[in-house]
Amino acid sequence: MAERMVIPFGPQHPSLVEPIHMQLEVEGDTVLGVRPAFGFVHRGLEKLAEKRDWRQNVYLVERTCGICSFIHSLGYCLALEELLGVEVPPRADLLRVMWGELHRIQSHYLWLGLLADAVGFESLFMQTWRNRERVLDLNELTAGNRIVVSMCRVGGTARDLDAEMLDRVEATLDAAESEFGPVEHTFREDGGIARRLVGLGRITREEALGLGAVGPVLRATGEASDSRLLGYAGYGRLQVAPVTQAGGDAYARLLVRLGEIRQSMALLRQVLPLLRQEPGETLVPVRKDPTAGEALSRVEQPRGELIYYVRATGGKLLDRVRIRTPTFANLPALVHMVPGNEIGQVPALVLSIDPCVSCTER
Amino acid sequence: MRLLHTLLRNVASGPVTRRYPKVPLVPVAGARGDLRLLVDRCTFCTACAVRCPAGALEVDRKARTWTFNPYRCIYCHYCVEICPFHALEMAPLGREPAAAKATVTETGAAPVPSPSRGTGAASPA
Amino acid sequence: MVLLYHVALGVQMRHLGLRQNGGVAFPSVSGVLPGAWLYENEIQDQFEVTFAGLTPDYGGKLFLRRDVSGTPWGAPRG
Repeated sequence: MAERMVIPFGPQHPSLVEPIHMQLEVEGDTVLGVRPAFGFVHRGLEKLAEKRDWRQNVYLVERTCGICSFIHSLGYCLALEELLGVEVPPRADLLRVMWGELHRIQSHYLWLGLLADAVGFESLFMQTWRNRERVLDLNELTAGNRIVVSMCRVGGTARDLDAEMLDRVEATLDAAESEFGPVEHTFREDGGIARRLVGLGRITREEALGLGAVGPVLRATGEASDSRLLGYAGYGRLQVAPVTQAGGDAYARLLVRLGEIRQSMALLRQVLPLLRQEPGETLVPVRKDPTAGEALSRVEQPRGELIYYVRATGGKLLDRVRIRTPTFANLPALVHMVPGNEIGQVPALVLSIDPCVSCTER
Repeated sequence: MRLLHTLLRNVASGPVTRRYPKVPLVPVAGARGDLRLLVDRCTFCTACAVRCPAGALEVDRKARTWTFNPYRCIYCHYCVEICPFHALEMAPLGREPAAAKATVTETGAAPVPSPSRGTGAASPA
Repeated sequence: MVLLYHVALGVQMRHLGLRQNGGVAFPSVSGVLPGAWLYENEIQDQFEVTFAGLTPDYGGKLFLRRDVSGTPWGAPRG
């Protein structure tokens, strides 16, 4: 009978990509209990958002997450537009979809690379990140920055794309789509990846719903839940079918994310012709401050559903900005999954929910 | 095996990275980099300093100085967009690495005497 | 004060408010929704509010450092 002991795991650990700390109660190699601890990258963003005026907050909230920044600013802008009663031009809605899907592709690429690295497949990791560079270059070309594009404004988008630029986006998309083929094939067919992930961290659909899981973690249990079905921004005009899997384990989460890269590419294919056909304004000026009221927006990030709750009491400053990030929602599910696994599997398990701790703690 | 084809092709086609600094970066048009002030257009109205989300700008109306702390700048482009006199622009390349932090200060010439008011008094520049 | 609950399933969402006059102790909903423990711990971090029956209870030090006293928003308004 092995002795029970507590092993501190993280926040710095060679196999962990994010600063999360877990006290693992182990017996032999098996984890029996887990108590997570947080606060290593807590920045007090929600409090700071009350000290900046509502226009500056667009840039502040965008820096909540270092990977999917655009969708953060989109969520905030949607909430404020509801508060202000601003009608966004249709072209801006389409551009928002375009940048949002580009961010989803590069975020999933990042995760796929980290996963390949975690299971020891170095060449696949490098190839995935090489492919990701193409998407980042496209961000720089269209928006001026690679990751934090700062393109969303309350009332539309900061830039418009001309026909020549749309051609270059399409050409890059063609190349990105053909490059994705071999990578996707390897992730789907490689026996080593499947052996590491099949059955790891399996949860049922009922458990996932009760624990409040969102995004690929929830969709991997068979629940077709995707905030894009709400039709915010331009999604109402496009065909969005949630990518689901039935397995509920880490492998199913991988398959969902692979499917979502294809889905995002298909959405870009739907958006580009619309952008060509419909010229128009991309930004309506907003001159007044929000009056007293509250608004809530739900958007789909690469990691799951993101919720912004904004309350104003009139004037330049907002009364409260609440950000419910997807990793925050997925953490209870992670804590539920860990017990019962071997300690060597914990890093891959943490990675399987695609954690973003700076989002979680804000 | 499909990945092997890709990897062999990568070996044959050479690296995708540049030999920096031998091969310098060719900036993309419209990329956001170092902030610059076109000082003869600036009226020191403080619009940029008030709006900067990061607090990287300080403008003194009286002394006619514009001080920029490049190490606080978040490259959001907001100041360039709102400047009523189009006095700000962003170079397509980022800042060079530096050994120490420093601010950039631009000082404007004495204000042109306004003909309507007719006062020719020089400002304490 | 009012505690707002936003509960979503698929594309549907319900907004509920729980009003407590004067008091700062709320019942925990983590018995019904197991995932609620993280949310309630975060609210304890931010406001001077407590949840009865919350497990695990971080005692208002989920994200805050242990040597910090008080909460960023202090006592709830309204």
